[in-house]
Amino acid sequence: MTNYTDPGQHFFWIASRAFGVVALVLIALSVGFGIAISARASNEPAYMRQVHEATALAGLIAIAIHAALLLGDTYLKPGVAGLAIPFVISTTRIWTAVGVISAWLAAILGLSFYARKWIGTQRWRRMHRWSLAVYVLGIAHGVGSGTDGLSLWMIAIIVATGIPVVLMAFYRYMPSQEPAAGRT
Amino acid sequence: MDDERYEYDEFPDLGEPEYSPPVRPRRRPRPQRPRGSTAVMTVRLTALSVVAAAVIGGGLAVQMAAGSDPALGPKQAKAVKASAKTRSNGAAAQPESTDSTAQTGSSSDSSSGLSSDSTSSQSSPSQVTPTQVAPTQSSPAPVTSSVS
Repeated sequence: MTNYTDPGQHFFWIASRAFGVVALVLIALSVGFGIAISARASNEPAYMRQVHEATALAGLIAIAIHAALLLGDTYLKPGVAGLAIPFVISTTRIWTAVGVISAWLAAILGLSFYARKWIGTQRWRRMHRWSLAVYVLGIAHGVGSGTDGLSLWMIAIIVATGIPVVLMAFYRYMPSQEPAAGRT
Repeated sequence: MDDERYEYDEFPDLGEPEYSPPVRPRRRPRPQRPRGSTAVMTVRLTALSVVAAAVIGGGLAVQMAAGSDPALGPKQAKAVKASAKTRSNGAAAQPESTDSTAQTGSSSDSSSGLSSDSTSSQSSPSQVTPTQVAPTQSSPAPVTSSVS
């Protein structure tokens, strides 16, 4: 019988939720650093690039742990297919599928950095811009399907990590007012 | 052109050069932050994220134990309400049974949690003794018939 107040019975579920929150924060940081690099907003681009890469990799690891822990959840019982293929899990089908898609996008776009020799730098850059979508889809998944999505503390985390990303994105993608270099 | 940009001291005195290519001013090297490799930073961040997850998980566990988990809290409240209702129904039934037993002259069966149906002296023969029945019934015959 399910005990609603025994955390020991829901260990995997609780741990998965915790790693989901951590993954969201790390992806937000990585996206923020990435936009800052492309906007040349830092004096130390090399260091920023290193932090961007490290946060992205740590975020990917957190996403993997978040998903893997759900395998141990005796209530959801998602199975490997449910975690890897969108729309297989019936619980909050759409939002869970959004999470699965977001995780795959994060893995593909993040790890494509190491394959840019073969992809070509220009094509990789064009691909890499879609990393912002990973963050947006991750938030949608967290709010739509996450148990804590509408908790006050979770909203605070989303706002605290989201505002810098949004401001950076505006700064990066808004058309510049300065005349283009080389024209006088 | 700015003459300060040329470092004349480095060259032998050959007179004023007619043309010298523009020399980019040397930039002072930025103070670089001491760096480890990206792998080390990733491992550190991962360890930090495990600690952060443990802290968040601990908070969630405490929240769940307190019965205010966003998903399980309402179910817990519903279960508590349901059990309280059952208990109150049982408590409401108890005085009735006590009353009925009092009416029938028994004082020993009040703890059995009888429902209102079972309080009638005819339906539960185990509670009905000939001494209880005697005052109301002329003979124990109906009681024995209900047993069979």
